[in-house]
Amino acid sequence: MLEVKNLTFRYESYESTSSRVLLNNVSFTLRKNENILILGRPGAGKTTLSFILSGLTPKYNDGELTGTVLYDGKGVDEELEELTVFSLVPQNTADSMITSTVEEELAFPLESLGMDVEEMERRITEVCSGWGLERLRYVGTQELSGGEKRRLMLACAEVTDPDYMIYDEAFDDLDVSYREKLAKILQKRERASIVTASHFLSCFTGLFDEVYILDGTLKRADSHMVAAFSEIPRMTFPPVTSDDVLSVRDLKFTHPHRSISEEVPFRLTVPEFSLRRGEVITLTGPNGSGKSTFSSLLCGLYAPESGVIACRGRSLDRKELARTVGYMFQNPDWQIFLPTVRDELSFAYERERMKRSETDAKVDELTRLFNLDPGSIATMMSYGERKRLQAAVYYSLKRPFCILDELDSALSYDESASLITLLAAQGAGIILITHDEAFARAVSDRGYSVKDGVVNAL
Amino acid sequence: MAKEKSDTVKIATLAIAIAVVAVFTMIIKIPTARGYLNPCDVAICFIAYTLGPVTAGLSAGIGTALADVLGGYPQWALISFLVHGLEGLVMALIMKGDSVSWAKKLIAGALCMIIVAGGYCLLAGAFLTGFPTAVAEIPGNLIQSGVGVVAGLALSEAVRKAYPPVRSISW
Amino acid sequence: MRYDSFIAGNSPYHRFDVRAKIIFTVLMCVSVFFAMPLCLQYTLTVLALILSLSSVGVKTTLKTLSLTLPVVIFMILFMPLQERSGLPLVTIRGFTLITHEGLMTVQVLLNRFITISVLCTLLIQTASSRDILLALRFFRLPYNASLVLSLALRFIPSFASTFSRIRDSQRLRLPNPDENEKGKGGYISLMPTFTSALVVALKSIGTTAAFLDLRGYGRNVKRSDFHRLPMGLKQFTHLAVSVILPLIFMVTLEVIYG
Repeated sequence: MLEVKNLTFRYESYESTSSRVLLNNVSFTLRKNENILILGRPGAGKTTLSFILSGLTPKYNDGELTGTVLYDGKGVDEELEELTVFSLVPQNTADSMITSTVEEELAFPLESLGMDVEEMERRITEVCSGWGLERLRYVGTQELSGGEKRRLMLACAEVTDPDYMIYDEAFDDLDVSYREKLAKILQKRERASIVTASHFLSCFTGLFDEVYILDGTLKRADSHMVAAFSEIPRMTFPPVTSDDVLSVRDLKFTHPHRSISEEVPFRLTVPEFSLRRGEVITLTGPNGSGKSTFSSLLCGLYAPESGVIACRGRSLDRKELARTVGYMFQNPDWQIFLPTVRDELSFAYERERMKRSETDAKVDELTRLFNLDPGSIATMMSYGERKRLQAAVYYSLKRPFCILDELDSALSYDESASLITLLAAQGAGIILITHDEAFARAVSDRGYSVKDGVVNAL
Repeated sequence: MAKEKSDTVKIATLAIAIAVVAVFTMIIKIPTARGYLNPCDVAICFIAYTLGPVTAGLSAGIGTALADVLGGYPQWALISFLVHGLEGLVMALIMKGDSVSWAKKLIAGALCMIIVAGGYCLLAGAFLTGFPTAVAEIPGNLIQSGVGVVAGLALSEAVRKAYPPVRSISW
Repeated sequence: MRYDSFIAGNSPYHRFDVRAKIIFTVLMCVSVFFAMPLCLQYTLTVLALILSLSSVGVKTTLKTLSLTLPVVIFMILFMPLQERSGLPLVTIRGFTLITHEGLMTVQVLLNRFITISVLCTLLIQTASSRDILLALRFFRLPYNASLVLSLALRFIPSFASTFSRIRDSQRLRLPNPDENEKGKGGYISLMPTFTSALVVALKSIGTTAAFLDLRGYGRNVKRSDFHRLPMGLKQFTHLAVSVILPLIFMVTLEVIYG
């Protein structure tokens, strides 16, 4: 049994950053073979809680922690050393890998256990086939797509066969078939599991013995409270009035990176694609199918082998595309580099040599629209705030078209909906890349899907 | 941070510092006689200023050597290891402490330029290319390390502003 | 861009034990510094090139050579500065351009440089970084040191791709994304990219340490190894050959010309 008693936690503060109490008196128990779900908005502390339950915070993140975490009556530090008691599937998969290939990543914890080679081989083969990694066994970890990384982390957590599992937003990034697979594993109840999530997905129904809401404190959830995490707000977009159309015909591209360790290079084909200015459409498809590649082509990062990308009947070269199509990257940290929110937002205006007073007025408007504090240190804000800052930057750029790469994956439905509505209100044509089918349907009934490197209209 | 750093944290810090130096060395290249000019000194200066002498010495040496090996210039790896390792160590030792005066930064920068230009000249001259070619390399190396130090110090300040916890990472 | 020089293959040198290859490379690089006639220097260079050609093919060997080309050109250009007091060989209007001794010295330097370059490059082209690390462990490199190296090797490609993604994404968030391409500001225009890249790298230190711990680094149990270098008669022969051949060569040189 896992007993969590009176956890209170706050991160160490740095200069102007505030240090609010993130977790306040959190207690719960998890019995053998039980599943529990912890719902919480982004920034509510789900990842922090999962790190505390794994004994990694405050060991590797500065902060003050009081309260106890006991696995079968023993302290979490002792059980972390044990290695086979619990395992964590992290939300951030890219930073969590410590070796260069899939096989070495899976072997590392087994080597720590001092296991013999035959047993290691047996277990690695087993989890590889379980998570569809056989073909990727010798592939470099940095060449994997987001969903493949998630599957590797799931396999890596299972390979030590722990009694307890902590899945931190582990359903994100997975495509539909692997979401079902993970749901089936939970259904079997072979071990005790904690799942954290920002949305109540349709496949969650019937999986959990207890549902909690994390919002500073931890409360048992009733159906009404759960509904707030599954309801997608209605989004209304202004009617499309523009005649500007971004159109693609017979686009072909061979991926330069992924071909290294695979026998067949990855190819993307787009027979036909069109997006009207002011329109909101979706782009969906399984992990590694080519959604990011297509986006990189649209905004001029890659040059296509053949085919045309045109707007207003004129073919656009890569430089023109970079100015026409904005690409809001999934990771906001890549686009944030200045100390404060104000610095970030005035950056573009200053480059256009706008007057100081005008810049200030614009920045004030942006911080109000996107609910940001201009004095905050950008890199130290919560994920949701960093994502809002990134959206504000794109709002200020006023690109005619904009690609939102998995905008919704770590945001609440309300927050994603309000960001999309804001960006659409400006009259931009928007492509939303998402794995959440319900959310995709709520956003738009028109869209495209990518499968095996071919982009087709839904 | 007052806490004693565990081996795990030291290993992670060192590995990432090595990767940072190696990537800065490899990603931008201006071909010259020595192989190429690159902003590795920017990264080394940043690490020396931010992460302390042990990390700086080891990561500067190993990072540039790895970059040579991976980039197809393995014959230079040993020389890079010695020269840049010494550069990182010396700079970090001079710039130790919480507040670093401009005089110290200036001395560190000057020593860095002397170590890089002189070190390559001596070692390459003796073991790889002969002295005339090695001497001809001195101006290029002086420019690379000089610009690197200035940019590296400016960068250190920018990173400290953008990410305050950086001050607690040194060991 | 690739961040690994290994080229998979099945040539005899590929199959030669990695430990033996490392010893062989080091000893041969030492041996070129022994005194020997020029023709022997050339022979060594040609043998190194033949080894490279037979292991990785013409194209890769030419690429290795092309990477040494700038240095080679410099060495030839600076020939007039070598051995000024020697026997004049080429003179222009009474000014000695090249001396006999200068020409000899440069040939020795060139041969040494090319032999060392070709052999070192060939080592990393025919052995994967994982095998080289295992070999270093065999030569008693502490586990912690090899862990640091393998972690660094895992981070280099991902950090490099993060770096270029950051550069792209920051360019795309400018009002006019292609303005930077025209007026290259050198390091100045790269400063924002450097800043973000370093913040991303520094942020990952804590996570990496945490996951080393989560995957069982530092437990009190002796670690086992999933991958091990084989050690049989074949490997022993390779090791013996890689030590004995260069040693005999060096001793002979020392006796005859030393």
